[in-house]
Amino acid sequence: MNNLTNLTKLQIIELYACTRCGECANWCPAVDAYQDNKISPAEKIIKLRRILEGKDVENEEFAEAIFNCTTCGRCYEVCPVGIRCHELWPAVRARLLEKGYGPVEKIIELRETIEKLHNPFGLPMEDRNKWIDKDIFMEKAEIALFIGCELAYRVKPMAIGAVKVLKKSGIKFVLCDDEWCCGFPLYILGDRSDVLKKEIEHNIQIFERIGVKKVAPYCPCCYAIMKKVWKSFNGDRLPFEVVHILKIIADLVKDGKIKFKKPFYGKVVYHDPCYLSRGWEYGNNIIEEPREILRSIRGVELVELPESKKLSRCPGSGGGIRRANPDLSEKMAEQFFDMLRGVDFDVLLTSCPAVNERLNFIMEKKGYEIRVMDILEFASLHI
Amino acid sequence: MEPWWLFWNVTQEVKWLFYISIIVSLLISIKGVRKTLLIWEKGIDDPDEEIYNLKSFDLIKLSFKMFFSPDCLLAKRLSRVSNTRRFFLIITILSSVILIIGVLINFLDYFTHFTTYISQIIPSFAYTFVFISGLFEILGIALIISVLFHLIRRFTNGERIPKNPEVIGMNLIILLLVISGFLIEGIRVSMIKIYDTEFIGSSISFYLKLHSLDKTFLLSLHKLFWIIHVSSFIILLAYFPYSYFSHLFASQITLYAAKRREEGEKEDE
Repeated sequence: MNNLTNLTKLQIIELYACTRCGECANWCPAVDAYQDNKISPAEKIIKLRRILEGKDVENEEFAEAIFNCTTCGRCYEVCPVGIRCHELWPAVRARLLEKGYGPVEKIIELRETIEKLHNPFGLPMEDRNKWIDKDIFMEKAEIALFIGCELAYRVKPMAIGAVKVLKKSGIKFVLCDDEWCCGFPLYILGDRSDVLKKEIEHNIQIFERIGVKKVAPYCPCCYAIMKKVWKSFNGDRLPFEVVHILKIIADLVKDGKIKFKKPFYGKVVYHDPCYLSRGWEYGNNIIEEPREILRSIRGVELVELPESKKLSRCPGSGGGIRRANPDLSEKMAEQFFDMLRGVDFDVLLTSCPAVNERLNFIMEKKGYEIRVMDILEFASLHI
Repeated sequence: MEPWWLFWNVTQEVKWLFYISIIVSLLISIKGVRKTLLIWEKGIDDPDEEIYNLKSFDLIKLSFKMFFSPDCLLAKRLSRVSNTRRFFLIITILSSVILIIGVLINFLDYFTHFTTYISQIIPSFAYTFVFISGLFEILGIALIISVLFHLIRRFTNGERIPKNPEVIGMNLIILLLVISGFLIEGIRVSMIKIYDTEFIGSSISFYLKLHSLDKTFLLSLHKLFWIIHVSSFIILLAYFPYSYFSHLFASQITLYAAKRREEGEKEDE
């Protein structure tokens, strides 16, 4: 593994910019969960630089460390010199996979599933849109809602909530009945096969055909890949604008087009999903929008988590970690619950389906009793 | 007494060995920088990146320009987590840069005696030197304290900081360089009886005099510390482009990119 030809110039310079201060490791939720410094960003940078210089590195161990990351990007926020590990690792994973390192079998299985059924869960395509009213598919509108696999199959209340809130606002929107996987699960694990290309190109063509001006994803992972990667599969431009649904709804709330009539008297905490608060596409962070929506609901007392906004903690849900290393993912979710101890709240809201799934999974497994909901599902109950 | 006499308290052979070592070390260093730049050049030039289209020379220029820019030294990133660390980081950078410049000027003066000529034309120029030597003392102490801070925090506060031998080794070499420098100064001051504002050197010299140490012994000590001082400088000069100290070049570039990225973020908001 000595030919990292897929790294950009700035990414290579970043490897040389590391001051070994260790701040990344202090904030890394994966290091927290495993208490193992070998998986810290700084240690991986040291090894990666050795590889670039043609020196020997234990490939298996290095690959394991590279895949033991949720790409949450918190290390970038605290790095004094601005190293973007969350963008580095997917590129390195791609090279590792080519050379046969990392969870190759799991990724091949994922690729085959997506190729066949266009979702990472192996569930039938015909079940994808079963939850929704048929009339929404056919409307002519400027905005298309991109549901994403996790919402369509696993966390349906999120999708239902989003549709309910949008419907109440009176704006016209459309749902695509032939939506495929956004490509994120493959991309983040380093798979650069034709399947990734096909999935992304199909989605772009579908939305182009419908003729929408804006595509609004809800899932933060879909949002991240649509903003950052999709255009590279379409001649460096997209025929539509990608706007996160929370931004659209926050604007509608601001304009008075959405009013929440039913109050909620209680304490609410909002967990910022990594790809919304920090993300890949700088300048498109969704931090204040969900808070604006919540503040507009009468009686809501918004409580901030100890680790929130740009420093929010990933509960082991993103970056392909649930597939690559389920054990680490679980440990990270438990650490997230540790952070919640001492915070007084009635309901925990999030806008990430992967976080929603992970928290519910751990609650069931460990018997924790916390009320976890999606923010738009919550909003739809008070409209 | 000729002020440079004690500086060259070594044989002619050692003197030549010193010159040759410095040149070799400089060449190794240049080779290291070139090797690093060649590796950087291998990266894909991405139009979305803030350093798009910048060649090696442009990157070096950018790095130097940023080094002395407030965007680098006062970057918000540096204090996002700890103000103490930012303080010591700035102290380390400033003191080492000024000390290196000072050594270079001294080196130039040794061959050209330009300061003597200036002092003959402008007599008050001599006072500048008194001030500068005092400043260097303060910076030297500041550098020792800040390097000690960086080293000690690796072992004391349980943080997950990489403790690999390279990091420890490089910091210890810096410490060795500065401490041996002060000891050389102390012995020199005790022998040539010039106090000026070299308060550290004068304090050491005071201590040495208190113990009435033998002159031959002092000269041997001076030679030993001189060799340690010079050797640590030669190692540092040769090795730094190969070590994690390459961040001295690279981090300004990443800070520049991060700043541009964040500026874009603000504009979008």
